[in-house]
Amino acid sequence: MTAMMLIFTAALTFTATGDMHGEHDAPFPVLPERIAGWSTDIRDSWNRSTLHEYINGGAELFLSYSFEEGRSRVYTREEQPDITVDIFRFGAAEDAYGVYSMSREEENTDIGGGGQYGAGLLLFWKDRYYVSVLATPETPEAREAVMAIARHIEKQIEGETAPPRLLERFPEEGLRAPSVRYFRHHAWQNVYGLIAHDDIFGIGDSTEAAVAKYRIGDAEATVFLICYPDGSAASDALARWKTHYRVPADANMIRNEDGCFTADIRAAHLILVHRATDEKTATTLLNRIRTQFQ
Amino acid sequence: MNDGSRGRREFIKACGAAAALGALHLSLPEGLLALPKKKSRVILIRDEHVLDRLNKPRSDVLARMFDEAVVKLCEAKDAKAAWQTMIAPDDRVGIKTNVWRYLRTPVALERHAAKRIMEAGVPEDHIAVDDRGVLGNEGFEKATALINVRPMRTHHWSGLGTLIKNYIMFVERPAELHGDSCADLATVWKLPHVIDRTRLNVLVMLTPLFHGSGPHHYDPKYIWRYNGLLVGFDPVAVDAVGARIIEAKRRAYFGEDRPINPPPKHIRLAETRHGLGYADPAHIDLIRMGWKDDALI
Repeated sequence: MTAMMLIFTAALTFTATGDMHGEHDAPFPVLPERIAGWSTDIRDSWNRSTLHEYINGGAELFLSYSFEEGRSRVYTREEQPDITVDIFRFGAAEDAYGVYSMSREEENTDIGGGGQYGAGLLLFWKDRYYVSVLATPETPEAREAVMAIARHIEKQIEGETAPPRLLERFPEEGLRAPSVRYFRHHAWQNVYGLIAHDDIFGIGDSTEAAVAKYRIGDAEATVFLICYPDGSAASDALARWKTHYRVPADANMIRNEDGCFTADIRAAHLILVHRATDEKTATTLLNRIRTQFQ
Repeated sequence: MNDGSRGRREFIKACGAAAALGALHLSLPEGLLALPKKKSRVILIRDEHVLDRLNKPRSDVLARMFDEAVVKLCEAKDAKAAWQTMIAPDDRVGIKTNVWRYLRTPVALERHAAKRIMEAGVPEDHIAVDDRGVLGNEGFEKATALINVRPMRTHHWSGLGTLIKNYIMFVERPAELHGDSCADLATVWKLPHVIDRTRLNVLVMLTPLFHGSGPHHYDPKYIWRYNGLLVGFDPVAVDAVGARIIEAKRRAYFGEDRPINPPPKHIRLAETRHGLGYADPAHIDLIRMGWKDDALI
């Protein structure tokens, strides 16, 4: 296990971020020296090799996406909390959204492609940038400064504010929108509970995948969508899913102590309904997703 | 005090061999690791007024809390006498702190510990304070005694950042201990340059982090003003009490039983697999002092 993790981390650090959609030399948003009474003299920047020095234990998430560079500043003001600003740039807007989605709990702030604010921490994404502005503990003055800094950054970023198109396949009815997670590395297949340490779905480090939670009445379920390069890869993944969950060859549903599990493929997409409260919920959700492909 | 990081010295080379010795230790029959059947004393002390409005600790209140806890733990007549039971004048002392920027060990606590150590007769230049540079710090190379002090928080890899985990910087490649939710962190405590040196463990529970989110695994809505310190000789027992408080806070906040993820199994395994101390509440003598409201335990 230890060796696997080291290989995972090293592989992420040195992975060539070849499938990038943006310009490598896109300018970073410029941060002011002073804003709302706060001033800064602490600044730093990070790349794929050094990010782990800044984000203790959490760099792997960023490295599993196309993280390119991060910049941070700390603003101070007498009798007020420090404000830490982090701007992370990725090779693709989808990846900035993906990292943002991993921390999203309640989208409540109209900024960029989506943002959430609570207790002094503002997170948002826009185009290839994921931004964090943190004041702790929150004070009324700090809250205003956090929003002012965020707006200052946002207006300098042009480009994408729409989530990845894969997410359009999730039916809206019953969807718990803040629960949607978007990723391109198999490590995050376990984000809502351990499925396997191995890459059983063949996601690798580039296949588009997303997961969301649903609630239908009192019933719940978790839905995965994985978009493969071709139907053959999707069929192979479905076969591995059946083996992993010991689903009989002539069936597509199984129940265990965690709930009901079912799956199908459509247009090179693997559709998984996991941990459904009952068979009816699993079937209903699977059928609704199938209709998204018609 | 020596708080700088210096060039890595020869003893670091021994760390690889030390790790092997640790592994050897783990292969011993379980019976040889069994702890004597007694209780570990843990002091929980809280003060309603220890934090200012910006959650910064008031030095005088924090120092008094620390002193009262240590006196109770050592059953001594005063703080000086208590420290004299733990530290000898010829000791060289390393204060293993934690500098994680969002929830660091209060500097006031480091300074007060150093002050009490000096009162016990240790010269100032025989006291080192460090976190990430302990392996390259001469003060820690020569340390005969360690004081372990850090805040409690949830953690990406180990479930909880604990006193047990605070010693991970005593190995050259900490990431090698991240496997299986850092299950075997207690092995660090058996390394030759660490074993039997720890005289006191202080788990800072002023504003513990009970859930992680955001790029730094730090979201201010998941800290709360608990205003406490947990102090003891047994790091496993202190961590186990801290973990129970975190779990209770999570139940209260989320309104459901939401286990810490990943599970902080290294605390339980520190007892059952490594014999470092007691995680079982039946073997913990918890003494409460000070502010009682919302103690969660």
